[in-house]
Amino acid sequence: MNKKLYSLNKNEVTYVKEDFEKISINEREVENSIQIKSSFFKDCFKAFAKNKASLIAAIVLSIIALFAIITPIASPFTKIDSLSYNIDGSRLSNIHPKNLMFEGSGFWDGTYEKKINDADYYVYKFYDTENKPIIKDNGEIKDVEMEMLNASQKIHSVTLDSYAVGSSYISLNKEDYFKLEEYCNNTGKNIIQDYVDYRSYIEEYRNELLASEFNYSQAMIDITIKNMEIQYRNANITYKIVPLLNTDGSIRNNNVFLPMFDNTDVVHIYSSSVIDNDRHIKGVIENGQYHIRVDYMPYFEYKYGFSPIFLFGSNSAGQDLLSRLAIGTLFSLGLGILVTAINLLIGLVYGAVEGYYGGKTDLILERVSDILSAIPSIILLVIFNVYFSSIPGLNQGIAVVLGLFIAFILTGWIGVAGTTRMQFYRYKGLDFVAASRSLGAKNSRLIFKHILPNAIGTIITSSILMIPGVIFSESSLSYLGIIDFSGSGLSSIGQLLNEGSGSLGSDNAYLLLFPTILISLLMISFNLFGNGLRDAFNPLSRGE
Amino acid sequence: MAITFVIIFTICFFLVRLMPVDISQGPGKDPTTYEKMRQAYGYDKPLIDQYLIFIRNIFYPYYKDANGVTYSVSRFGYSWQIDYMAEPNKMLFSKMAPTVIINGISILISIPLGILIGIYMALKKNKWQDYVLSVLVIVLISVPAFVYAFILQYSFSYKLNLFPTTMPPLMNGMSWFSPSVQKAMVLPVIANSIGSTAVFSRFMRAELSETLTSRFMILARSKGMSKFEAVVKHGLRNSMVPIFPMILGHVIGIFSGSIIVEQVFGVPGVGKIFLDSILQHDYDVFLFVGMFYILIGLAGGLLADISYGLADPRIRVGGNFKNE
Repeated sequence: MNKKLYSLNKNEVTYVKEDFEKISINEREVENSIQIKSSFFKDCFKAFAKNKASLIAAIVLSIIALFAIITPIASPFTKIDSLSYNIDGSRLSNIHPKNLMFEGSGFWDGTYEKKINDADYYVYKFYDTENKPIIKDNGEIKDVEMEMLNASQKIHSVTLDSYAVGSSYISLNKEDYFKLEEYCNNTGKNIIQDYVDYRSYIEEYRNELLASEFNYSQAMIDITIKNMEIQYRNANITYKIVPLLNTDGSIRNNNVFLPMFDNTDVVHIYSSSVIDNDRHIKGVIENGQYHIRVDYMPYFEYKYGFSPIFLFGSNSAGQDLLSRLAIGTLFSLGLGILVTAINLLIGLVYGAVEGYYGGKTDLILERVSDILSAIPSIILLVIFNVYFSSIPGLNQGIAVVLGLFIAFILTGWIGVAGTTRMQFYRYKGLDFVAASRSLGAKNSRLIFKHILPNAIGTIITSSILMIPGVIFSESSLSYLGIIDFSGSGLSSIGQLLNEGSGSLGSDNAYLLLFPTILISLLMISFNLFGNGLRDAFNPLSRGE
Repeated sequence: MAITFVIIFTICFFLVRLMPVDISQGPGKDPTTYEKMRQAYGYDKPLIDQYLIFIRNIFYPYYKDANGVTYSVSRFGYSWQIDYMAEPNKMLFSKMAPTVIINGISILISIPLGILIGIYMALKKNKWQDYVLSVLVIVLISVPAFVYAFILQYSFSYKLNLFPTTMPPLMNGMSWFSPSVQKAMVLPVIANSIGSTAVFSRFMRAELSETLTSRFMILARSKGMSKFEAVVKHGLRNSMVPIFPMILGHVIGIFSGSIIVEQVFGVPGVGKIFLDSILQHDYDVFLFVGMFYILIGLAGGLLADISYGLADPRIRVGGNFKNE
């Protein structure tokens, strides 16, 4: 033993053979069995898995994330070119949610009950498309409020199928028209409908008014005819209409039009087909453009290759709420995670410096973060939002996102810095740090190799809760209209809430329902998940 | 606190004055008159001069022109968009009543209710009542306020027709305490209360359940106190130490309205005017109301710090403490 040489330099310890002794295999086995098999992280995950609520929350969260990622890829609506869809979209506006599983049940099948006046009722009643909008006529009802607004009209309660959108006037060039005709002949579908010859009827009615016994003024006649033309733009009016009349036959209201009845049938005014190059064409040809009337749903299927089913309904522009919601969720989640990651990084560095160096450095840095934390992020957000939006040439979407990022990051890291500072105070006085320091370790080594690995679990798990915080702020602010994505093609859950906020009392309350459900689910599961994770990693703060 | 406030005010002032002014907004406003008015009040001067003018106006609200005539000017700038040439301070204080009433009633409901629920949860700790209530509390805390507001508005206003959907404008001879106005305030009060009730019950549970496991509780029981007595006399008093400052913070907070709840229910309060100033880019009003919000926040924090010492004499912020 006396041959052993120790020197101050730790690299120069020399051993001789007698220093080592052989151990038997049995002893080694005993040593192995003593070693603790589970690690800190394994323990934490065990604790987390015991917490049922957090586990369910984690599952819900991953389902939402999957929904946000898969839906934009799988949904046929996201593949549609939005520029050409704009006109078609307006015809599919406010279609109610429909789930094929509930077909015909009256719930979630695209139908809804509505009270309508005579004028609307007859338009719906005489659709000449295959799908009729009125699927159940509940008869006339008394409704004082509506009767006040609709003088001398009856109020009907009906159940409408929002998928029966009826027909629509479209213009095609020759080539497209022949393609459509060929498609109809091949599939046997009746897309092209008889054209309505309303111009000659309007002329006829004008003459009738001029010759009328009531001596209408020229202005009165003009405005009546003009209103009538506007009515006929609705391609579902295929019959003669007359204004609302008094009992003596004079016009009572030249803005409300009812069908003209012949006994109990309406008089359709279909025009006979035009003959062009030996073909019968149902429509009008002007400047090489074929103006025709089509049954819109089958036409949509022909044009885009799928028949639209809106699981969550469609908005006023005919956009699918489901895919918009998925894109919005993806944006909100991405923003939350990215902002949190950046805040984590900044807070970690700041808190580490504060906590490690302590003393005057800590005092000064704490005052700085105190001042910053007193500024509400809404004020910063407004300032940066306006500032970036006013820079000419900057894309509006980029400007809004940039403003959001800066506003959330400028004060967001303070919480992380506080947690990090506490952890550093806790660990820096411990023996293993002192031991390392006494061996000559530098500050950077102590921070990154010794203190940070011990503290990082707590810091990260406590900052997970920042993600729902960011999502919450973003959705609240865009709900209020302070952040406005509308011109930029971006979408967030808050933006959808903003768009749906006016529909609460109307038939389209689903526009608000689905975003509300999603954001509630997201917030609840994120908070439960974050709390569970924090409790598992940080046993001291349990129950708070 | 005063220094913090001055620093924040200075930063915000410069940021706000750097923002572009859109003159064309609003009907019936002549751009040239508008520009002249702005020049007269010094809005075209360099930022540092604007800052000095603003500070001077706060303490000495008079302006002497080249001819030596003295005019009276506003202390806090002017509203340019919402209410042309109105003074922001008057605008804010005229909107104070509904906000204070709604928030006041909310905290009168939510604080006692939250504390009672928290006590119940702590006493039933780790039993099924506690589990159910804990999940419910987390759910209520997580769900954004506008979700409650929507649910309340949809079910009670649109479906059941029990309450008006939004607040009616104040007619002649009506006050904020007239029955019809009070009826319109019911839903905003409920929407405001739910969140803070949940927050208070969560904190109360955490504090009380920690106190109940302390050794002095065992001592109290072993002296012969009943459980009820021990909880009220020893448990509650000790657990109120961190709760009391929280209550004070909420009480101060009644002046700053919830923007979301006021927006959904159309309450013409402080939050509404803040939102209007943001959406209409009315910068002087925005600055004034924003500063008001910051002041309320800072005052709440300060009051909470002081009240720790009041609630528990053992805690005194002395000069003789070190950071380490």
